[in-house]
Amino acid sequence: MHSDSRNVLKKRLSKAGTYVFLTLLLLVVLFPTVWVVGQSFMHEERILKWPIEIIPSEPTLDNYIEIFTTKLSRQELSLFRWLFNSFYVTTLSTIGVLLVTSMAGYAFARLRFPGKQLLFFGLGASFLVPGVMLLIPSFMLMRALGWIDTHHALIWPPLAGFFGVFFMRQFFLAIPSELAEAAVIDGASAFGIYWRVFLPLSRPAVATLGIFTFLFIWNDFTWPLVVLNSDEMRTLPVGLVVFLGEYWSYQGIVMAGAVVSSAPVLVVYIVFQRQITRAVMATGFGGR
Amino acid sequence: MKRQAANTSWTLTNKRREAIAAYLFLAPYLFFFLVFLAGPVISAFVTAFVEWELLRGTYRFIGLENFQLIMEDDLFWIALGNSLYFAIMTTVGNVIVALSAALALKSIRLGHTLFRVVMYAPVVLSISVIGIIFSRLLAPFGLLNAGLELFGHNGFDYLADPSLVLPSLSLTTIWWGFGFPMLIFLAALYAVPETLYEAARIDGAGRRQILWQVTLPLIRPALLFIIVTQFIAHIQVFGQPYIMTNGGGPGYSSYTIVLHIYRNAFSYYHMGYAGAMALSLGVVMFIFALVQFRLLGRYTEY
Repeated sequence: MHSDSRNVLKKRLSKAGTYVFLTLLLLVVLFPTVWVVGQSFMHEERILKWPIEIIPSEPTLDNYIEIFTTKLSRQELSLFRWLFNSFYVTTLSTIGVLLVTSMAGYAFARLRFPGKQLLFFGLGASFLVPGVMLLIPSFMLMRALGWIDTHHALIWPPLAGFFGVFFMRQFFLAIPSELAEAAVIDGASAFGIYWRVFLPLSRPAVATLGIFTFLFIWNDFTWPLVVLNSDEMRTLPVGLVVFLGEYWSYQGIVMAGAVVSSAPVLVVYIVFQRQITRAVMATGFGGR
Repeated sequence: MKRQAANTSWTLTNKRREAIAAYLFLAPYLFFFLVFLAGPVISAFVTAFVEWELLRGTYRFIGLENFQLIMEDDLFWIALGNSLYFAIMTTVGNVIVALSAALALKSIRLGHTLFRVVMYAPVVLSISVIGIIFSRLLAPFGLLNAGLELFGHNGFDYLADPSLVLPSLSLTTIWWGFGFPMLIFLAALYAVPETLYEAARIDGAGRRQILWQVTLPLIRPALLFIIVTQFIAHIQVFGQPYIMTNGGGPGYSSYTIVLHIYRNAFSYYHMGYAGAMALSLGVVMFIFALVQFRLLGRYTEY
């Protein structure tokens, strides 16, 4: 009896400890975020005053108006241009990745052909090639193609990524073959089976791969920094760093820039968090 | 007989048609793979052995000279030391934080989703946003020092102090990324059959014993995977010092190997030399990853 109630107490205490630990961690993650958002809605004079304020007592939209209306650099650009560039490049590239890798994934999952195993492992070895090794040769390739400072340099190279092929293959493998056989009897072509049977059935996988690709390309920093050099071509993450160089002393504007740049990815994340979490846990991809 | 022959030839052509269809499905991807991945990998090996000065337009084969230059390049070794220090610190920190968070998350139900969703959220942010936020947070009059002042401490100049700068960048990176290994560990923990824990408990094992003798050995593949992939990712650190410490400052305290490669390639246009450095680092990382997958293959077989 006595030891039983002690055990219950011990269990409760350890559960309480778990919650305390998780709450602390949660606060460590949330606090800077809340601070950033707060500062972005604060007048510059208020930011500099002591004591610091986390939630603005007199919120203002001035910082946001400033970053969207100010002409950045000599080229009379606003942040809209970079926002547009990011959306443009990311959307086109993501569509390309989805089409090209799902077709390849389909071949690996559902079709028989000589050299399949060898090819799969050969392509898969590209997983192990570290990014730093590709940086210079890829840059030279862009130069040879005349793609420096064009959006082609951002749109096309992601189509070579093997992750999409691997991911789609796993999904296609799990689809029961009766469905494909029914389509064969109906006289559908190989492409017809892929396009009208398998692709619609794998909408969740396509969506997940699309989200991952979108986040990856949207957030990329090093590659656009290397291949783009004029202000009007830049994507948001690089533009932000360049632009903030000039506004570095105005904290409110800097923070508004950070919020504008993260809002699209955070919205995507919150809407699709279930799919993202599941895909990360199942495949081991999605980190850095 | 006749019927059978007809049948085999029918299946043969069918097989052939399937193979042709497969290659057609693969063709677009293979095209991009060859151009944007295989091509650059091959040219990485060529570039390392040439003197390639983009500004002067020189391009000539010089054998191992670039690698000799690396040996004599003090900055390369300083940068490599910094990158190694950063990578080890960040990997260890990430594993400890992520594993603790995953163990805690696994044991609770109420609020599980909220904790998990918030803790992974920073992973989806770009390095420029992280860099911008944390340069402000770690500034002399930033949030962290304001917090310390509440306790009567004067605070530190995190990003300008040579001994604090790399640990500060490492903490920033852990904040940014621990959600990812956390999810991987969580998946691994869920895969451990509950009966094993019960058996250990019946045998009288304490919580600590269960952690060290049941849980950790069973999630060893996930641990190994995370340690190796995190190390490979973090030794290539670039954005953090590029944005937060003005490209490696103060002095060369946070100057990393990829910054050194980037600067040689895109500020000085020593393509051959930078390529040789990138190849050296790349090959070491590749072997590292290969060994890891061999080990993983062995461990996952029980």
